[in-house]
Amino acid sequence: MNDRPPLLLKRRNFIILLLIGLADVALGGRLVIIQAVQGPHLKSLADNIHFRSVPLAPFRGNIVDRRGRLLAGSHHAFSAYAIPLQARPQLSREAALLSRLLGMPETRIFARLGRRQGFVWIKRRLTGQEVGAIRGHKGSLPGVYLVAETARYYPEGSLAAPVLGFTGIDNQGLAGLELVYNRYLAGRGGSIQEEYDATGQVVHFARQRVVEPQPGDTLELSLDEKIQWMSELACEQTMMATSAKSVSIVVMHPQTGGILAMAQRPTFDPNQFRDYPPSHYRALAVTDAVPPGSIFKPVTLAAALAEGTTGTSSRFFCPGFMSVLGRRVNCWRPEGHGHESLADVVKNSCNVGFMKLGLALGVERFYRYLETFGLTRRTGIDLPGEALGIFPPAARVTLLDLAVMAFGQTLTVTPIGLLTAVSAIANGGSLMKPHVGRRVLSPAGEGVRRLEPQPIRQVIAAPVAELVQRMMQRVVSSGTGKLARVPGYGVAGKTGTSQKVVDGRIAQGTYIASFVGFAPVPNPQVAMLVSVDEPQGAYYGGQVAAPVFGRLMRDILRYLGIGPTEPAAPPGPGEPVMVPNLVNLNPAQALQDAEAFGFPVQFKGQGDVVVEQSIEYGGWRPAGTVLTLRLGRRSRVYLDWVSVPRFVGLTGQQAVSLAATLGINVRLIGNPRRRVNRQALSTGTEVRSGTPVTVWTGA
Amino acid sequence: MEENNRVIRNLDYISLAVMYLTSGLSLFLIAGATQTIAPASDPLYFVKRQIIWIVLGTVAVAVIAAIPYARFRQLSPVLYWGSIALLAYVLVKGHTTLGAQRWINVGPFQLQPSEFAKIAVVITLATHLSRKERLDRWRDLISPLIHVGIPMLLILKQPDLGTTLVFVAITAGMFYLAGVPALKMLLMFPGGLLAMIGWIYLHLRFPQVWIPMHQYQLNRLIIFLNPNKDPLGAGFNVIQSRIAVGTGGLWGTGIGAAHASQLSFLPESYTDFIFAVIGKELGFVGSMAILAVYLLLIARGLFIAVQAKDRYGTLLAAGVVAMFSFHVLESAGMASGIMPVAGVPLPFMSYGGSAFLTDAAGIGILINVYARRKAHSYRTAGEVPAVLYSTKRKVNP
Repeated sequence: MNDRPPLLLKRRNFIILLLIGLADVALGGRLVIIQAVQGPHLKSLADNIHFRSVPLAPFRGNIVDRRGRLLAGSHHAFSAYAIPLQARPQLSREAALLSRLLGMPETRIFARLGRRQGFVWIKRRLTGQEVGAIRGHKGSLPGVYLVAETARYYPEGSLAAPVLGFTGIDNQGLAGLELVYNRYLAGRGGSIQEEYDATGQVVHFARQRVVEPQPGDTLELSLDEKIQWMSELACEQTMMATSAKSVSIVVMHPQTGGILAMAQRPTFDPNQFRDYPPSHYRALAVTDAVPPGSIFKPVTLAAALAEGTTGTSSRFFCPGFMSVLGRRVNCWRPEGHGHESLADVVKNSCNVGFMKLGLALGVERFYRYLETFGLTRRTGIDLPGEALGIFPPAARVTLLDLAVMAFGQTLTVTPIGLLTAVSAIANGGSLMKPHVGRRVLSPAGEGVRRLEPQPIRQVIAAPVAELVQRMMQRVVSSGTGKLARVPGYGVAGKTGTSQKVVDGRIAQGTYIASFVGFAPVPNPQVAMLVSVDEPQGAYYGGQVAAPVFGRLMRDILRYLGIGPTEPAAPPGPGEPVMVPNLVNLNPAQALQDAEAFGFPVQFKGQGDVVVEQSIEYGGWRPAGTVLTLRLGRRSRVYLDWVSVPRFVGLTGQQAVSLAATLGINVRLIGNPRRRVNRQALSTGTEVRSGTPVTVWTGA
Repeated sequence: MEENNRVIRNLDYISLAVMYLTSGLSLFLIAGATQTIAPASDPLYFVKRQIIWIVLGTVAVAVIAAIPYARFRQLSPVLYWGSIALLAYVLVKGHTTLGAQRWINVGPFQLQPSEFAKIAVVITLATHLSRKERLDRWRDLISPLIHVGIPMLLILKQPDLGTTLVFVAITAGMFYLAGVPALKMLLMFPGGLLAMIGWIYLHLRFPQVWIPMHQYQLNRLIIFLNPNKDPLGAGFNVIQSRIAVGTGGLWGTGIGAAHASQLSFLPESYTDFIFAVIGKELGFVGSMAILAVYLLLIARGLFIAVQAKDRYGTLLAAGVVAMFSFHVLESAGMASGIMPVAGVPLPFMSYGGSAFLTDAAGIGILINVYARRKAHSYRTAGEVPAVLYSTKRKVNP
């Protein structure tokens, strides 16, 4: 009938072909979208799925003191991780075994191993025993592996802990300098990335990418480890002597604003920071603003002298109180100081005199100087959590407020802020930004970045600063701060006793005893603030804080090798003199030192070194008092520092017994009967007692 | 003998070439994709088995091409009831894999009767339709729909949504080329699709509305719309497939490239999702080339349908074309995410014996019809002429 295919069939064929062709075009378009547009994103998605990344922790940079002594370092630690896919077949058996080996709850391990992840941590920072246990059971723990990580350690324990801070489990800085300088210290983490398949097996001959971790930079501080140790010890002793709530000492280099030491009690051990309450983590000198009391007076004095509202020839009269706006404000000495010169007002810490200075300045100029001395702002020190002092707003200040602020009540400042202001007086009038970090060094030890001292502004002229220095010097030589004297050195200072303000009211009977000062005058090299919070018993700054300042300043000046600035006039008999430290000296040196201070000595016992003195170091006695010194063989540990003796040449046994008497731990390698031919630390090195020293004897 | 000579003389090399080209290429893809799941002792385990299927497929092509297709009419009842019996047997005794009963064990192999049922339906529906005088009234369409419906429901029960949809596609293609009026076609197929979508929507919206679907099938549809809803569960395949295709780029990573292991994240990458492997290893260019090859096969099939000497041949070829078309579009579409996931093999490329033999049988039918196409000088008496009912012509009974 019809040989040729009917038209309809042809047309329908064409429509089918067209529809399928269109579908193919749609498919092609879809492929373009996936492969060209979404391709890069999907590829990275694929790499994330197909690569399993085992993190390689970087070595966190060291923190060293100004002489390169290690304060915070890193060492290797092993951590256990698991690849859940590989552990899955024997999940519960492995969880039970791991729980036994690592002392962790089985349910927790079970949950971790069961996660749908390429990688899970089981336990970080394993002990050596745990590492051994896991290695020993390697065969029965498929999918569980060890990786070397780094862990932070603080070789000096609690030394400068609130300043250094600490790090978390991933070596991230959490507090203190560790937090502030984290970006230098952290380094860059690396990883080993292994390609693996859906069953969790590493693909053979597959790509493996190793991203090397970059170690962090070293942070060099302005801290001096030894000054820090002296300050720590002073804090500890003061805590014991006064039963205070807290003690804080800050030592600063006034020319640069570099912190030489910042010590406090209570403190904590950053190696075990979790064992301490978080309140101990704070650097009190930075995070707490307190009423400064009389140690604020140098600021008022400097302002008054700079503005010319007073002068060396000004005369004052103190009847023991002063009436301001109808309110009677007492001087600390109820009977009053009578007629005084300006220098006497400072020397006596006379509140009436300072109220007059403040009222003469007026609100506007007083506040201008608060601002110039940097007390109304944060100092910008490189420590976290700095507090801001509180002042009544200038517009609402009454004359009464002004009078009281002039001697350091009503307002609050941080100790670091006040020390920075006093340092400006000490260095001739230049306000420096306080800092702890001094330099950033590459891991190889090259300087990467210098954190330069930053002068903020000239606050007072140099002659004014010198005038204030001289008046502060008289506070120590003949005023309220006599106990801060350091024989042979010109010391300037100011005592302070402030009443604590709790909930906006003065808390009766709670005081902060403090002392701020610097030495030697002229050209001070060390500025220091000692603050004792709520001492029990004696509470005047001159009684409690000044002696701490004097002893510590003496040790620091000697340690820094700063020679005496004034002839140490041999004290006349009966004149009160501070008893020097004679412990650890040989008898000849002890005799010489004691006589220089005007104390005859009497030796007791046998030995080549003084082990005990009848009157403790730092006590005040009339010159001519006889000191009884006990001699012994065993050197007493002074400030926890001992000098490494010469072990070479001794037999191993002799070396061990010598070390025992010195408080050094000797690790003997070799035959104890042979003579020592090598020692790890050279003779004369000063180390902390208990430091291990390795010695080798010949075979 | 004379029949065989005729087949050899008039052999359709094009469809044969497509079959061997795609199946040859698939061996390399399967080798890469099965790298991680093949037994360690025999990394080419799956490739070797696929070669066996190619050889057996060649035999199937030869056998089916050799029998003059006119004799398929006599075989139709056997084929039809035989496949229904096999499908029923699978439901009762079949081997369960991945939650569905689809296989029966035959020696070392597992056979999938639903695959063979596709060819059986092509042949028997062609027989059925070719006997129909008219197809332009609704009542004319009732018996063909019942004819397809019985095996289709058995497969849907397994459950195997993919194969069920292949049946729908075969029916649509054959009805269309058999001359069912366009309006009725639109009402039945696109209309039926819309009705299904409406039903599913109602079910999702109001869970009390009953629906003859398994939850996993519904999930696939939901996931098709939003694969990230359950990236590790129901959406896993869709996302992994998209990732595999996406990493291919313009030229692909190369066949069996170094990190073919990544394909182990894509389940069924060597069977239903082989198009994702193509996308990854051969890239955009390779994927489009392969789609073009399939389009050539489809065009050739349509040409053969036109060239067929009678209506029966046309319908046979139409059924085969519809089957191939749906296989290609669904398999490629789901791998690239424009179609919902339904287990359908890519002809000659997906690993699997039953599917290969089925598609080979399809090629055999095309060759058969082509070899016996009408010649100007040759015409057999007694054949029903390939008359199509015009949709324009109104016939009043």
